[in-house]
Amino acid sequence: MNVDQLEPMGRLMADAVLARELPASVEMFEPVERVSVHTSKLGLPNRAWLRFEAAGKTYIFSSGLLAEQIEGDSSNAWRHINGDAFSLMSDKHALKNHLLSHGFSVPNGHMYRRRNMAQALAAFEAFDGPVCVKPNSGSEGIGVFPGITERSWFEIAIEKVAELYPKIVVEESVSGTHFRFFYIAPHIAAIRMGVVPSVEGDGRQTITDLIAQKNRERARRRLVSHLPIETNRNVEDYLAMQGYRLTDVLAPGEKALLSGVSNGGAGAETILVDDEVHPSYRRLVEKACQSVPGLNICGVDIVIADEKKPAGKNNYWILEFNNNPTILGYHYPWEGRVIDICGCILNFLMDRAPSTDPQGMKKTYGADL
Amino acid sequence: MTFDELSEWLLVYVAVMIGQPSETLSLDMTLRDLDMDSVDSVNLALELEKKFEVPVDPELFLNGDKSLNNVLVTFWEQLAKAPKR
Repeated sequence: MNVDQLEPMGRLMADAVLARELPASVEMFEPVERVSVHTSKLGLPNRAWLRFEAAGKTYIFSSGLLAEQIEGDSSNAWRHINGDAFSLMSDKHALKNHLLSHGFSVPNGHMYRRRNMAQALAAFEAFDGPVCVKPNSGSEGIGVFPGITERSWFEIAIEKVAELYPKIVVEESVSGTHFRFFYIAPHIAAIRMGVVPSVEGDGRQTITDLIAQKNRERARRRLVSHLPIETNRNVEDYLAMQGYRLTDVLAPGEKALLSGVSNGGAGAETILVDDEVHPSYRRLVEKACQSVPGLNICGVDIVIADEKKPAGKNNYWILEFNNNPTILGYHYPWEGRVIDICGCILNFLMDRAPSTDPQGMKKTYGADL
Repeated sequence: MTFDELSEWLLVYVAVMIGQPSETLSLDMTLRDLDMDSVDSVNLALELEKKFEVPVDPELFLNGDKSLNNVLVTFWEQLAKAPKR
C-alpha cells in the first residue's frame, strides 16, 4: 500500500488502520455518493483515498471525509458517515434554526440570497454590536468575516461572500473563546481551543517581521497542523479593519489579530484541553449532536464566554457543525495532550453500538497516544 | 397533475424557498438567478420524490444556466417514463 499518495490526514488514518491490522488499500478514484435513490459525486475528485474495512463494512477516507460503502448497492456508491444528517449540517442557517428549536444558543442573525443584496446590506443597522458575515455553506473558515464594526467593511464582506456563494449569513459576532468539540457518537472525544492568530509588538519590528518570527518558530517545530502563516490579502484586510498595515511597528505589548477565525488553515494555534473546560459543555454539545438524527462524527464550533462557568443560556453560542472535521491538530497540537483521534474513529467504526458507560467510553474513545 | 399545475407548484415551492412572492418569479429565470445551491437542489429533489413517488436526480437542479422551464420539461419527460415506486 503506497501511503505516500495520501494527503496528511489520510496518512494519519492509514497508520491507525495498519496498527490495527485492518484490510486496507490506497485507491485513486472519484467516488459517488448516494442521495436518496440517485448518486452524485462525493467531492474531492482526483485524489487518493484510503480504503479500509472495519467490522465487516468498507470505508473510504480522505481530508477528514469518511464514507461507508452501501451494502448490496450495485452502483458501488458511498454514503457519508453522517448519512441523512449531512444535508442539514451543510446548511448553516437551517442547522442554526434546528439547534434554536431544540433550546441551544446560537448567534442571532439571518440568511440572505445574493439576489437580495439590498436586504443583506440593510441588515447591518439591526445589530448593536460587531457583526459576522459568512457563506451559508462554506468550510475551513473561508469567506468568514467576524468582528465587523464599520459599515464600509460590512459592505466589502458582503460583496466578497456574494462573489463566491449564493447565500450569505449575517449574524451577531459573538465574543469569547473559540472551541472545536470533536464528536464521535455518542460522546465528545476531544476539545480543541483555537487561538486566533495574532502578533504582539516589541516597539521595533513591523507586523511583517513579527509574522516571519512566528513562522520561524513554526518551521522549527515542523508540525503538519501548523504550517507557516501566509501573508495574503485576507490578512491585510483583517489588519486594515483594525487600522493596521503590514509595515506598521506595534508598540511593546500591542496586539494585532491576523484573522478572526480560529481554523488551523487561517493560522490559528491548536491547544488541546480537557478539564480546563467546565464538563457541562461536553454534555451540552453531545446533546446538540444527538438532536440531529444520523449524526455520527463531526466537529462542533462553539464560542464560550467563560469556559470555567457552567453552560447557561447566554454564555455560549454554537456556530456550526463540520461534516469533515480536520484531525491533524489532535495528533499534532501546538500545546496540550495528544489525542489519537484516528484511533477513536476506528474504535467507533469497529463497534457501532458502543457502551453507554461514560467512563468506559472515555477509555475507549479518548485514548491518549 | 398537468404540466401547468406542476409549473405552478414549482413556482410556489421556489417562492417559499427564497422568500419572495411567486408573482415576482417566472419560469424563464435560471437557477443561478434564484441563487439555488446544492442544498436547495437536494431538498427540491427529495420534495419531488416524495410528491411524485419517482426517483429524482438532484443533479437536475445543479446546472445554474438552466431555467426553471428547462428543468420542468426535463423532469416532466422523466416523470412520464419513470416507473412508480
